[in-house]
Amino acid sequence: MDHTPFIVGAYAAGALVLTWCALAPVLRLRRLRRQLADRQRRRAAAESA
Amino acid sequence: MSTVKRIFHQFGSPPWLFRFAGFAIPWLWAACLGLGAWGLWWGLVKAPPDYLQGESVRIMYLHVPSAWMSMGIYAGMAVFGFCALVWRVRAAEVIALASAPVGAAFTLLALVTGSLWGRPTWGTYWVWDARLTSELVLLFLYLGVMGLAAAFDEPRKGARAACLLALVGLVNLPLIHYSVEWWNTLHQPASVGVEGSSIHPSMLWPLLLMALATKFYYLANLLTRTRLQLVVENRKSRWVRDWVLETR
Repeated sequence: MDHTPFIVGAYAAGALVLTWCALAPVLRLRRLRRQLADRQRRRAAAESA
Repeated sequence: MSTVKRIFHQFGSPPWLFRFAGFAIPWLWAACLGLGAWGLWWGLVKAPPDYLQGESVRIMYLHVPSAWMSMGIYAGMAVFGFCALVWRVRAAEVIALASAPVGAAFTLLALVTGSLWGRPTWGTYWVWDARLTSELVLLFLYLGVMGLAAAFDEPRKGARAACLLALVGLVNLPLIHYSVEWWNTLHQPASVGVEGSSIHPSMLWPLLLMALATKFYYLANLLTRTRLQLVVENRKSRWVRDWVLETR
């Protein structure tokens, strides 16, 4: 039996799961920072108007 | 104030923990990627195939560290959950809950890679063996902790319930560890232990390198998730407003 597909499959699954798990919080933090910055900008504009 | 007490208090301070995490994360990723690349090269290129398992033994360099992490992270999550419940340390609660998705990812990976190793070695992807079943229960426990934390309108109540479940689920860890000794399982007993290892050094070293790389992965990921949770919970605080301005 050729073991290559099983080895490639295992490491591909590993790369997929670990990359997703690492990137998900980074992307969420970036999105949250943008939202908070927009909110601060709107508030500052409302105060100066 | 003693040094230990000072460190304990600093970890309880969200702005200090946020800044510390921001400083440590790049170094942890660098260590993880360096050790991971070294371990992968050694395991996939340099290490010999096993005399019995053949080339499929290379899956072990990912499967075994993932399985170790799945149990280690759960134990850590329960310890932090205990600190959160008993001493009401908010940072411990955040760290306990941030550990759950990373632990779930490693458990899923241990199950998937074990299954892909099992097909060429045992002739099947899955058996309801005590080790495999208790590891599957561990995945459900992680999902339960994550689900429970998100199930309440009041986040603190959800977090406390999740910490309690993490503590109750601790009973599963000895079941996983000793399942191969207590029951007649298809899964083989541990090859690496406190007293030594039955693995040849040419295969043991890449395994240990990968195990170390996964530890750094966990710490980097945990601190990233902790930073996210700290911002979510303190979005109206002065230090979060300052951070948003800093990074604009």
